[in-house]
Amino acid sequence: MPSTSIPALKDTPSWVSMTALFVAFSCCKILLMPSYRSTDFDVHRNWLAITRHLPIKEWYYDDVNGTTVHTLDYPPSFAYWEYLLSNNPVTQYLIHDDALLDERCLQLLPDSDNTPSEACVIFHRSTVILSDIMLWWGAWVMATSSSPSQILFLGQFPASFLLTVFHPGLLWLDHVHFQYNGMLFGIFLASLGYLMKVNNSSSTEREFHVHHWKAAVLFALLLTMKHLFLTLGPFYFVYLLRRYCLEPPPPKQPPSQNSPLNSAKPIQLYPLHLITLSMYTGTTLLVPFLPFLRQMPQLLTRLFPFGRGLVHDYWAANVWALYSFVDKVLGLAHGPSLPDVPASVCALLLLLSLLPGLYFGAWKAAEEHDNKKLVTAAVYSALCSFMLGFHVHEKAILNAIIPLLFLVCNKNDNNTTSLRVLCFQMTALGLLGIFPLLFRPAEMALKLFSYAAYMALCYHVLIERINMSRQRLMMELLPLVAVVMVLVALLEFVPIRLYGKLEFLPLLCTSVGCAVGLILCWIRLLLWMVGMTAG
Amino acid sequence: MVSLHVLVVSLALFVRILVGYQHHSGEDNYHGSKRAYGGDYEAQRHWMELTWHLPIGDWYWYDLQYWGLDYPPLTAYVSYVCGALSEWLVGPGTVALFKSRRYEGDPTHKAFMRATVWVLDALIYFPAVFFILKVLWQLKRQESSSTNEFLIAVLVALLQPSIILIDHGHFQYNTVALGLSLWSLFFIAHPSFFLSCIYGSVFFSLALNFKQMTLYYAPVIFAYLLGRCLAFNNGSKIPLWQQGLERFAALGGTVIITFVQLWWPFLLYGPRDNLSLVEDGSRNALRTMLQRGTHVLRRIFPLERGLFEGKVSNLWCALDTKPINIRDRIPADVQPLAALAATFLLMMPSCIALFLIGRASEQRKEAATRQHAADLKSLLWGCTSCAFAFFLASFQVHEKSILLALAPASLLVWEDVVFCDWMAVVATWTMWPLLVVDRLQLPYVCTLIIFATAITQLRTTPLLQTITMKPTDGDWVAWCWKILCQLSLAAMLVLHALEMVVPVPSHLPDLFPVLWSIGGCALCCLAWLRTVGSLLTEGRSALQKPKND
Repeated sequence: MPSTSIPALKDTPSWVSMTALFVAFSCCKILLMPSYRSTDFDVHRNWLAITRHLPIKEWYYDDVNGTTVHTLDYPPSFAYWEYLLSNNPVTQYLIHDDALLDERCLQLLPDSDNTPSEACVIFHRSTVILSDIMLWWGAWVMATSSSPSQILFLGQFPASFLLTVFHPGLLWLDHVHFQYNGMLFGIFLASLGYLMKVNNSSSTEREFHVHHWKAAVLFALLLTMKHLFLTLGPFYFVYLLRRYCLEPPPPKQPPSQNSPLNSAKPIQLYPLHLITLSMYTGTTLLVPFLPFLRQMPQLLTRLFPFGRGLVHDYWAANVWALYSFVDKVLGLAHGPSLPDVPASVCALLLLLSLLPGLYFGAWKAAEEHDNKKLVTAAVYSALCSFMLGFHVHEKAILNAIIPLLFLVCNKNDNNTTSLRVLCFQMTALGLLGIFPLLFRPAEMALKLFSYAAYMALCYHVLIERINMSRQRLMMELLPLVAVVMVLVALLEFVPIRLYGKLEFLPLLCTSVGCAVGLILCWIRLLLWMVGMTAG
Repeated sequence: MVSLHVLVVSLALFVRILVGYQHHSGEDNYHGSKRAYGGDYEAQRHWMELTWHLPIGDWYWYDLQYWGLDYPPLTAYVSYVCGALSEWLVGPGTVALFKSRRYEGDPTHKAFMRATVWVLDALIYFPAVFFILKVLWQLKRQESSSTNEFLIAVLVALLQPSIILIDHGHFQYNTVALGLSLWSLFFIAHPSFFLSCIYGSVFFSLALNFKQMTLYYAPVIFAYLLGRCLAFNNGSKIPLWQQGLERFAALGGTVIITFVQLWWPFLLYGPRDNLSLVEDGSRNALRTMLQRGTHVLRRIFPLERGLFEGKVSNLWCALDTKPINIRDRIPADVQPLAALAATFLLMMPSCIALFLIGRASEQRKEAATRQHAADLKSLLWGCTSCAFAFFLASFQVHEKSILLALAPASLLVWEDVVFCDWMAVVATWTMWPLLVVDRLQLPYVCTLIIFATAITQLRTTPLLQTITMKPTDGDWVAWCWKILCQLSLAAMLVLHALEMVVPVPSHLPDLFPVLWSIGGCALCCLAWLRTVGSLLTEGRSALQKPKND
């Protein structure tokens, strides 16, 4: 019998186990230090240099006299994070006398001459590894926010927690490619987790206030670190408005089982709730921008470089990949070419697509205190922005597939049976869509085996004991397996020289293949969300 | 349950690939050998180059000064295939004759080299571990225990830090030789004699022909098979001598046929006339098959190198320190004989026990799987013991030879989990001086931590808790053994701490390697004693069996 059937040996995992797991997985990340790193490494190295050597006024202007393209283009809080990394006693100690870390590592360098020393790489990689503590914290907050009887355990840990902290997407992006997504995801998941905690029947009045404030502040902080999360703003707005500002705090005595939840209770505005929440959120949003108030236009051009075009170099597996593909095919067939899509149209379509999520997801979740709908709405919003956003990066799919894990890793819930399969499919396709990010043959085996290990774990947790007919399951999974095998073969096993002039073919097939699959998943998620409310 | 099998295999490979990103032996000629560039990595790459481009007769003759081929034929054939793949997958520049020397710094090529190791590892060593543990699991499983325990045992066996560090960090193909040896043990222990003798001896011949070091197992395997030849078989009408002769002939025939198939090209073909030979005048000595065969053998067993190689954790190195200085007390020409005698003495317990077990093996009236498991278990103990005998006392021992003792011991998890885990740490620890030379200190720490996490966090099941003995049992020996293990772990840590803190005195430059050598030797002696202890019990029970019938 799989270990999921063994109940938790202890009610909560010991801190020793947790630390052991963290240290062991950090060891894996340490071993990845010599692997491939993208230009994002140079980007972050340059940001450290900017925040170390320049006055704050110049942060958003500097480009090392036009010799670097790695200019600061994240919101201010992220710049403060870089400031913290470049100006602290530990860094000072390391860099003292060039003993452990060379001074050059944190200097403003032109792109033509910025090869980092080995110590510099180790320093940068270590900051990512340590900042993953935030991911573990956030995943823990969210994984334990459901009522304990609902949590699906794997050994002594919640399955969703393990599936998040061991997510290969984050491993590839942060510890190979080089970024700080783990930290950002930690904040995001913690914010969602605090929203969920209030919906537990046991939450008190104090928790009702504090958790909502925490969630709002964390999300606002997240926005000032990475504006990619902006598309989740409407979801947070609607949910918090309905759940916190239009609803009284929970009564001292929890309602008895029989009394229906807020039946026929009129919606009433609680101004005090609205004011406190706005104050917390507004302050968190505003304060980081204060030093830059006079340079907002410059800051905004850095944050929103609309000149970049609808799709990334490598097409993320979204609607626009299919659009561009059709455009290419028409071009080859000498047909009419499709019109360019401006950013404004993108934004409009995105807003329209968000609407069902806001009503059927966020509003209903707040009305019914339903965590399932809450997470569904968050996942759906993230998925919309991946599907329709302008110049979307392939990694944005993680915003959808990581929270989705928390929706499906639960016990004895027949409602989410079909979502388990959906989660498995989306994870498989989403991760496959990130494969081209690590393009060197030297990372092939790393990708394949971390993918295989993770998908096996997902299968064990989500699919193995699923309540679904074998035939139906085969129909769901066989096409997926076939697509994944073909794409992996095209992408990884056929030497690139054999494609000749068609060397773009494997990438094209991957993004179109994954796009078709993910769009189907998107539609099914929407239908499920609407159906859940209707049914 | 397929998913968890995939998970275990993928995780084991994942860790190997992580270690593969680190330095290999002799990268940038760091601590490279004086005669040639680099280390084992360059040697293996060079063998791919020379086998792929040269006619087979030249293989053991080509430029012997620059990493001349000195492994047995199967390694050469594998190099040939890898050379072909390297040219096709990575590019002709990676194996171009002579021009590709010192080919380094290309991540794709390094990944290819690493892939040749992990692919062979996964094809040969992984299934051997899996099937052996599966057989042993039959013997030990309880109604209540779940398959997870079996899979966890497989995962732990595949995460052995020393094996990963040497094969996937330092760069060697030990898991091929070890895997073939384990496969041979798997078959040899099978109750049906002819199945066991044919497959088992084919696999063992292949192992010997991949890496000569597997000779460390030969005495035990020979003793056991001899026992099987002369096995008591009450039910049969064939006289014992006739059975023995038949079986011995079958075994011998299989071994000879396997060897001939691997060796004939080297006996038939010598070097081309225009190949310049290092040893002048040796061309005349190449007229006969025997002479050509002798040359290859001399390449594989360079006896002239002497008794001592570096600072290894064996008896000779440990006894060669200041007050004793054994090297000065025994005349040089007696040294090999002394080594031979000592090795013989130390391997005796395992050989005798396995001979007895082999004789008694077909007499038991048990289910075939239980018989298989019982003999397999004894063979694993015996091979560990015999490999330790060689490691401790024979000549020309290398640090890496401890893997030969470790591989069988790592599968005895349901016999003595303390010994099994302790061995994993000891084997890794004794390699520290070598790993420092390879710049693999960080992977050393990381793989040990990963391994420690695996054994402490995954094994939470009652079965193993019962095996892990507690002092309350009144089992004196077991309790002392556990205390000794803990003390030795502490001692190893203390030595690490001392090495970091204490500066090396100028008049004792080799202080720490010597301390490592002495400490390692003591630990290996302890491990050898442990194996003898369990072989005594097993041998005694084998002796008692016939009387009961």
